[in-house]
Amino acid sequence: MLECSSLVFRFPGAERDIRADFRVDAGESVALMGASGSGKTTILNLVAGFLAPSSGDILLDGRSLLGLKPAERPLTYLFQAHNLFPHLSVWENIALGISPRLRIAPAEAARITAALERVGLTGMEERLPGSLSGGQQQRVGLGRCLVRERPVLLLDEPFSALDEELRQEMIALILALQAEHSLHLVLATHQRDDAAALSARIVAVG
Amino acid sequence: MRNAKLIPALLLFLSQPLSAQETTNTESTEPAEPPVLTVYTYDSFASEWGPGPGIETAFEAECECDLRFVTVDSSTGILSRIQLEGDRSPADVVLGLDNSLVVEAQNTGLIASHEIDAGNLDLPQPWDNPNFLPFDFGFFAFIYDTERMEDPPASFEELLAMDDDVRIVIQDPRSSTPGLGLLLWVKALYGDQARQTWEQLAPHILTVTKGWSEAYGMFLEGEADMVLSYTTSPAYHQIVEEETRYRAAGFKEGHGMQIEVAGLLKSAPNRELGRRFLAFMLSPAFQALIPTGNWMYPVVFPEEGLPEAFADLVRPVRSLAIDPQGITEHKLDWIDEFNEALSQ
Amino acid sequence: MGRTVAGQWAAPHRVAPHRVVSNSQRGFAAVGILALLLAGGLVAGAFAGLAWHAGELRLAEVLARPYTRSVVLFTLWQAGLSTLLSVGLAIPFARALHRRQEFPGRRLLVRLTSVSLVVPTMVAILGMVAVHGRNGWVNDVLALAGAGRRDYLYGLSGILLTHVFFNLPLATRMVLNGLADIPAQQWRLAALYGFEQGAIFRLVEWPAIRGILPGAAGIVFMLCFTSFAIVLSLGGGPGASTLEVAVYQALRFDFDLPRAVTLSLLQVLICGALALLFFARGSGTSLQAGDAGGGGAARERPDRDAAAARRMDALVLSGAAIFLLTPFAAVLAGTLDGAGWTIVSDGRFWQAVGWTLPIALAAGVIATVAGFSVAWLRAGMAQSLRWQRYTVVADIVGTLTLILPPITLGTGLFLLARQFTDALSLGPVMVVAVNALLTLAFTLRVLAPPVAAQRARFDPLCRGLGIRGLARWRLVYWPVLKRPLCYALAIATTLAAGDMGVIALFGTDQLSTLPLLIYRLLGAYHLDQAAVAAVCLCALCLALFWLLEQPARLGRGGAFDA
Repeated sequence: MLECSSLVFRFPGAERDIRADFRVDAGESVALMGASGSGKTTILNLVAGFLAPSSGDILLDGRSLLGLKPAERPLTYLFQAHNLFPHLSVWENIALGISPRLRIAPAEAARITAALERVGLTGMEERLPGSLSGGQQQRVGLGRCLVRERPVLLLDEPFSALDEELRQEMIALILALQAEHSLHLVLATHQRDDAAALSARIVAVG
Repeated sequence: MRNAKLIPALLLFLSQPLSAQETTNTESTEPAEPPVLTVYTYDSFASEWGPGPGIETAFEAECECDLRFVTVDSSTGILSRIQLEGDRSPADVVLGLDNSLVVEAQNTGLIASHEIDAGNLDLPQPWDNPNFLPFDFGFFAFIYDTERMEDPPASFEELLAMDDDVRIVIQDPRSSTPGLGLLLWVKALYGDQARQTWEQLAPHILTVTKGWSEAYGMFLEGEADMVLSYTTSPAYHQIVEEETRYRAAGFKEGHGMQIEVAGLLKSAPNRELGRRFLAFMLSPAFQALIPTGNWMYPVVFPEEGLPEAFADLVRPVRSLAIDPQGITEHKLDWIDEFNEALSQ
Repeated sequence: MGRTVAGQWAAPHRVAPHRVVSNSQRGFAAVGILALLLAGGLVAGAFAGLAWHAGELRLAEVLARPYTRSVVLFTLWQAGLSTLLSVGLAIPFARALHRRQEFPGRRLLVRLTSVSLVVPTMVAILGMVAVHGRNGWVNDVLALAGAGRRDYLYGLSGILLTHVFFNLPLATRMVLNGLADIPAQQWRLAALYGFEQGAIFRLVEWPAIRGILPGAAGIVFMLCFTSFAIVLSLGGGPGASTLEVAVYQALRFDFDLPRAVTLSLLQVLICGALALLFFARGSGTSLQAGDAGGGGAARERPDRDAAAARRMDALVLSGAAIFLLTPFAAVLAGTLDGAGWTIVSDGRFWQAVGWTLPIALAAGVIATVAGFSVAWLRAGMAQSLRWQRYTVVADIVGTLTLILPPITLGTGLFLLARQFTDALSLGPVMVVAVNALLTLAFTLRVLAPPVAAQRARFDPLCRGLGIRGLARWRLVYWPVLKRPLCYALAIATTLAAGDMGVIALFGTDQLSTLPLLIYRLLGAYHLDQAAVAAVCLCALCLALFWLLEQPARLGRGGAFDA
């Protein structure tokens, strides 16, 4: 169980605190909902470790994550945009999830192949992100989350740039992956539909 | 407009020099204004510590004119300046070229003949150039500081054989007459071996400066051990600073000689006044200012003799000079030779 | 502030090929065409003036001289080395500045990177002599340590040292802009996937700066290739002469016009060809207003707390700060004993101030108006299918004015003017014209990207809403362009105020500017007075820069910045 317990954060110079207090079990989804600027992404960034909370705690199965660097935390994160390095191929972008030096053992290469297949990008290994559609780019990002094999998946407005058809595809993919790996899923969105589609419990922010 | 306040300020800035010019213009149109004699010279000649101010006072007292020195940063600069301006030059007289530039300057066709008798000058060699008149002369030499250098070279050969860490400053032959003088001095001594001589000297050359004052300043500041200057330079320190530590190194092969000259421009707006100035140049009033003003030998020795300090100076055993025609013909090649030897 | 990456100065977007032209647009375009014609005419006129007076051009003879070859080789060699050092050192320096967002003096260092371009050369040379000369600070320290004094300032090492002093900040600025453009998400990815130092450089930083390096190297190379006052003062003689200095020598001392023309052409050809090579490979060089900080995104860097990175940054930043700031400190220290202040009561000083200001302001205003008009014209051409290919004309003018020897331009124009009028009285006009022409290269580089971007962004909107004429300018373009405009004016004016290349030829004792006065004082070895004049020149430049940037700070402009 991932737990944000009385989490408080305030940007320097900001007038109000951003607060979060929620739990999500393995295989369960939570949607952080609020208007833009309400602090949804900030909460994800706190969980990921890009920001440090002023008070409160973040726990996974009772163990605090606060002392850990982002890379050491048991989670992966799909941003709203800029998930990919534009100068690296699809394969390399996914391989980064295993080794930041791109030193990939044969067994790990098989995991990458599997992930590519799982997100439906087989055959596009050598393509550069610039030559992919928005939906394909998001799926590369998701593929990298997949090879990372972490129990928590953070999603920041993952469907905002997609048209309806691609959005449905993406939702189906995420649901399937969540079921396969019983992920703790935390989603930041301003769309009630997104929350519903992922059967996420809604936590209001702001 | 928020920046409306800025505009008057800008106008103010812009108008400053313009109004300054206007004032001089109105002054010059006043009838009482005496004629102006414009003399191009190098900067140290006209500077406050040079002979310029004294000459100006003395000449203005007898000519009822306004003598104006316009300074150019070097002697060779004077020549290229009048070439650039051509027959539109506002100059009447150029003062400060030397024997090495005379033919080149004559070849521009810009210089009038002086028509003054120069037969009885105290020069080591006779002078018969129709365009230029000498006003002083001197000998190139390396100056050293007796407190820092105990054993100065006594010949050019010894100079070349100095320890590696002895550094000298010389001037660029393209921009400075002492620089060109050294080039000719080397050429006179070594002829076809000049290139090898430069190559031998190269490791000792800290830097080649554009002008004399730059080099001499560096030497006085302690940046170098010796500097190319004149045998007469120590007299300055002795008379003005009562300092005897600086000496010229006398070379037994002889020293290059420089004769500084002046000439009248054909396009001179005040030709008669210019000619009067050239004549005045050989008069005692002008010549007396040379030894302790320009720190050179006058071409007409004063009746009471040279200042005492001049007696202690190195007198070259031999003065070396190259035929001026040959200089003009080969200068560029010799400078290239110098450049190449020092570029190695 | 975003950086424009698309062609050399092109706008990021192209809009509809057809144009509906309003009066104000036509006005700017006309001024642009006029400016281009004038710039081209001045250049052509200068060469015509020279060639006419030269009579015969002894091209082959000049080229055959071994000394010409050695000058060309040395010019290339020192420019190449200077570029390599400046750009190579800029990478660690920019990384350290980007990684450390808070340390005392950061603002000063970052500010220095944006104004180093306009530091008057003579001030820098004076500072270098005071720090690195035989009696400079470094040698004082060496002597105290018993190591003995060393001469290293004259010759290639002095040239390199001073070129790096000038160009390291400039290159750093460009690299820093590249780093600042890295989106925060990339740093988060790096944090999320545990990138080590090496991977951060390889995967995040290098791709962001790779595209900038050729352009940065190109501009540094051009500046060093055409270096004049530095080589003249610190070159230490004929062994270290650049083409630009050789041209100066040929004109100023030998009055050898054929040689000067040939060497100038050689410089334009070689430098132009190499510049094209550099610019063709990179995403272009734009100089831009505003301070690159990348504060927000840089704070996401996961390597900020690593001990190795801290040590490295401390070393790099203190080294760079010492190297870049001591010359200024030394110049300032040179004025403290008060001896040099006598210059302030000297008429020559106020005469120089009196010329420096109007010359700089006039050249700055002309260069900014011309630069803006050409940028406007170029942006319009880039939007039109028919005219697109002619944008290269603007680019050529922008590059040509950077690599032409100012002395050649000045002499040529002077000789041309001599035919028609009393050219001597034109001295100040010549200085202003040539300075305006030379700084046009910089105003164009400052203005072209934002003008192109804002026109591409707002032209269609304005057409749609029928905003035209002065209203379009007042409501739309002035608010979004005033910042680069003021920056361009500030740069051009301060560059002209510090100019040494043009005034070196036209300077007389009636027409003298502060840089020339410093050069003369330095020549006479009046170091005290030169230091005071240098401090005054610096203060003047800073004041001008600050004053001219003021309109950009007022009002609501900031919100519109792209």
